[in-house]
Amino acid sequence: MFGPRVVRKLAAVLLPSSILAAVVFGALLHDGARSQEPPRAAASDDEWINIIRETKASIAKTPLAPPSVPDGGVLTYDCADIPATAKLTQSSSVSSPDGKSGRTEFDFVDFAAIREGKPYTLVVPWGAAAQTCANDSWTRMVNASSDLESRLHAVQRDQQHICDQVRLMADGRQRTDVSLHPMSPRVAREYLAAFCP
Amino acid sequence: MRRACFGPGQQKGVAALVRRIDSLGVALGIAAGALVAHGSVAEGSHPSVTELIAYSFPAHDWAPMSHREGHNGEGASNLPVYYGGVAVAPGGFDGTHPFNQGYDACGGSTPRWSNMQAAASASNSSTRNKPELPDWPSGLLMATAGCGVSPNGHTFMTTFVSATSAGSPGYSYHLQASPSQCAQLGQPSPCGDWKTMTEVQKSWWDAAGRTDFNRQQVLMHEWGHQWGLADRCYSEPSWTHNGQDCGWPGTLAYQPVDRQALFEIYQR
Repeated sequence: MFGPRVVRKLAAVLLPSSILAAVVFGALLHDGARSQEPPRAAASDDEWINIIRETKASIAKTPLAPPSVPDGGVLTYDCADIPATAKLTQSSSVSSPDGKSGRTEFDFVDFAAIREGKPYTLVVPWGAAAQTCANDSWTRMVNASSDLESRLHAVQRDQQHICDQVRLMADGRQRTDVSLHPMSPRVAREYLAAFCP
Repeated sequence: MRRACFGPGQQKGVAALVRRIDSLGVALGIAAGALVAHGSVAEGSHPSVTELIAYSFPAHDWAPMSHREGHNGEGASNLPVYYGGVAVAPGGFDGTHPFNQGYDACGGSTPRWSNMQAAASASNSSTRNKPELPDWPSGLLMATAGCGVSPNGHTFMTTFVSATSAGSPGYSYHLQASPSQCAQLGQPSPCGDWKTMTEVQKSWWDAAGRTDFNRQQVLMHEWGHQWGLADRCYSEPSWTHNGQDCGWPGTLAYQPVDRQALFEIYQR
């Protein structure tokens, strides 16, 4: 169908672009692989201190990430969008990096069609005005999440607890809450300076 | 090839499978110098990819201690253990906690502790050395830290309340770790949950005729939420079923589709 000259011309055009594409693709693959590599916990005191310092530096300039839209589902800020046949299944809360604001996301599944349960996520920023929902339990939850003060207090209590435990470790003593990671006094002092004013 | 129901809610699972199939397709495409249609790969050469599964983090873009945040199920910092949380402080939560006041999981008129121990054991035995979790031979390890752990700690906790936040027998919620909390764990942010909480309604737990099997079923389901599983109904047994619109499995063991979900969350 094609003569040798056509083939050679085609090859002259296609081969370099193929090589380029392969190189670019290879680079993408490499970057992709690298980005997939999970971050590891600090392996040494120096590494841990670097993480503390970098985290401290990044907090001021990192905004609260927007909520993500559930695949195949509905993300809404208005509980009027949630059908009455949906059930509240669980919730998740996240505070802003500086701890001054946050939101709670409520997961609903519409079991009206049992095998096709459509997911809904209702986003309620902390401190938002109370919403009226069609279901008492939702209303209770949504109203509770609107209480900015209680949420902020909870976040602050958690952080205060951490600081109390880290102070023990900074003094060379054992933490009493084993759910926290043990720190050397050096790392603990760095943590106190960064996050426990 | 087994098939589960493919509702809209499972599209993240579809996406996950397509990504896996995409990777195979790209590899084959490069090797053969040809384009590989997704469908032909899925149906023809990758029959082991069978189920669509649901888990929580699509809606939030994070999950409790998931692979996405660097937890691979192994290692001192990565091991998704059951941090203590079978109990709250002996006096329960203080009254200013934003959610319900909790009760000691070690006491009570019914054996809360023994049922939780049994459910923890079932969680481990049904995920240990399973083909769906090839790189996680230890399975779900739930190391209890005893009673009276701090509700402000890094916890995977169960508490008993007068009324759950949703009015159901069980309810779970998550609180994502803040950057300073991640730093305490020696990790950059995001690093998953700081705590997850399961509430169990005491009146339901203590009701006449309630069996230990019923109680452990609730724990298996709610703890599934804490691990990151969502609520979905499948045509085959799964602890993602909500126990009402679709019943729970008759055996206290995480099912193949549950284990595949755990794989997606922690290992893929």
